[in-house]
Amino acid sequence: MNTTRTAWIAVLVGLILVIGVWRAGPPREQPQPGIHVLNEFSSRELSDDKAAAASEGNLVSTETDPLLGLVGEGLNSVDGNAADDVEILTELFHAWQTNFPGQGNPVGLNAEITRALTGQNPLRLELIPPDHPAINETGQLVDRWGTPFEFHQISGAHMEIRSAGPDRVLYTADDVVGNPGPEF
Amino acid sequence: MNPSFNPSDLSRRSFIRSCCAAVGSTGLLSAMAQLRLMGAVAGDSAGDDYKALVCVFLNGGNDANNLIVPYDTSGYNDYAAARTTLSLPQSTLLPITPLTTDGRSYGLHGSVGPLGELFAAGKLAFLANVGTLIVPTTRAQYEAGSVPLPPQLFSHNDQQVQWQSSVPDQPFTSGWGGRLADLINAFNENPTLSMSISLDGQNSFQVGKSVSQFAVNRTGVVNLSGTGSAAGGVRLEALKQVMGQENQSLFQTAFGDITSSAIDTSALLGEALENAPPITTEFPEGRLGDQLSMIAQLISVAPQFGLKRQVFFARLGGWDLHDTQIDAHALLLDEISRGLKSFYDATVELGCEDAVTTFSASDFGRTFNTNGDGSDHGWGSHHLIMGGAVRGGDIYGTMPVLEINGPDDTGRGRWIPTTSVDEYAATLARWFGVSDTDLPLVLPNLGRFGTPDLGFML
Repeated sequence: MNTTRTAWIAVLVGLILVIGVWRAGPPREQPQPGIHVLNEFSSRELSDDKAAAASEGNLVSTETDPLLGLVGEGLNSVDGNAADDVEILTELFHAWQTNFPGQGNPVGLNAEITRALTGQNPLRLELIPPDHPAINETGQLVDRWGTPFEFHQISGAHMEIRSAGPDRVLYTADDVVGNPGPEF
Repeated sequence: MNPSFNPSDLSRRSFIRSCCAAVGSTGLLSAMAQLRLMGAVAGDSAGDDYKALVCVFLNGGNDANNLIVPYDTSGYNDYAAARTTLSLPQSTLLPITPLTTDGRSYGLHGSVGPLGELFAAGKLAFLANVGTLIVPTTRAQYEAGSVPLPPQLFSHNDQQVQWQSSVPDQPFTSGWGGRLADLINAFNENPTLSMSISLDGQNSFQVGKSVSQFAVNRTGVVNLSGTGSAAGGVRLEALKQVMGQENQSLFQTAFGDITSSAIDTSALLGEALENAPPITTEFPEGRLGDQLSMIAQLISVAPQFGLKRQVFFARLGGWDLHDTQIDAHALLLDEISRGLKSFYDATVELGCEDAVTTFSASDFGRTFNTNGDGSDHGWGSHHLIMGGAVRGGDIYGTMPVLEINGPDDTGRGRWIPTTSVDEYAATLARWFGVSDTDLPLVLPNLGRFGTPDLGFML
């Protein structure tokens, strides 16, 4: 008698599971564990002017950005400014360190670091989408004026990030610098 | 077939026993090496040989691409085309004639005339394209990721530490200068002063297990603040009495002993420096000139402290020239060139030029192409070795192919080192008295590289 009842319960549980999976449909894309969601731009509405500006340069129109929720997704957003961008990149490196504890930041030239941040890493973790508008044709992360960011590697955990600013020349007065390091 | 290691087979007891054995054997090896050295010293008929190694660390990463520049027409044209705004006019270069040739001609930066004189006199050599490596590495291996690379390549702090430890694949525990001092301290007879002296504060290079680095500043010993006046003398005595009290805690006792010893040593050294005959060689004013002048004075009083071997550390910052490089680099090279020439002259004045070897080190080289107004972090770089015991007038090692995307490039002219820091350090350590057998104690990764003696020391 007990055996029969146990069998019925098992069949019932199995049916519930099958129905649940059928109703949920195919598995949805989920962010990789450890990714920090920085901003949610999806709910924001862009003015026509900003959308037009976004379509011209390296700015991101959040209306058309399909990859929401990634750490670097808000980079060069028309709603933000260069200081926000540097902050986003800082968060992005923090996210890297969270996912690769003890290994330090990615190193090398801008393009090498960008490759690492866009998924060419042991976890294939995309902290910023490879087709993000802030990545130029040579694979470098560029600021909102189109100049490649300077990633000054102070130590494994300390990355000074520099945008050349509106004059597009590094190390001038209008540079925007995040995490300034000591002078060597 | 070798049995594979299975952690589950390892009992706690056997693990502890293995660890103890490992620790014990390391200490035993070191102790045996020191005993061998003591024997060597005892058997040394001269008995009064003195040697000093002076590390001059160029903080920030020197652009040695503009220290040694191709001088033949085609080499210079390629150089100028690649470096663009960073290229030096050919007319400003100082041509050199190395003893051996690789088929190219080279010139030195126009600001290093005094170094050129030493090179021509056979008292200075260059070592081309040296840098941190875990194993010998080619461009193909670099790109394929098929060999381990020094962690955090291109990062200032990490590369400084790795240059100074020469063990890039392990967490830092000691510098190669510190390990050298630990081993070679046996040469010193009851020294009353550490053989490791830093002129620029704490550094990784001189961190050892048994020999502590002693810090001196550019003008002499570092006194405790508030002890310069008559009342300060009373304070100092009071402090020494407090430090000399017996403590139940071993840590407190050790701290007291070290502090008291440092106070006494500072007083003795200060007195010795005051009474030492002045060195007449003039040094250029500035950060490096002052440090090197003080090192010359410290060498002059070394016999009073029973020292036959000394390791010094000096440092000059400002080399991280991401912008305005041309002018700033010229000033730095001028400072180092005049400072080093004065230091060499001072050792001649002291009669110890054959016993003092000075060498340069730096975080890394710099990119061959420009970022507009400067250069960025590179990898391999050229360095200099100076002294009467240097087989000077030549360029050792292998110059990289100065070609963007060439066989030695990892991008933008970041040269893969063709000589490792281990080989560079080993050549200096051998001259300093370390036997081939004991070299791995100072440079544990040396066996991975082909040349424990690069030939630049007599």
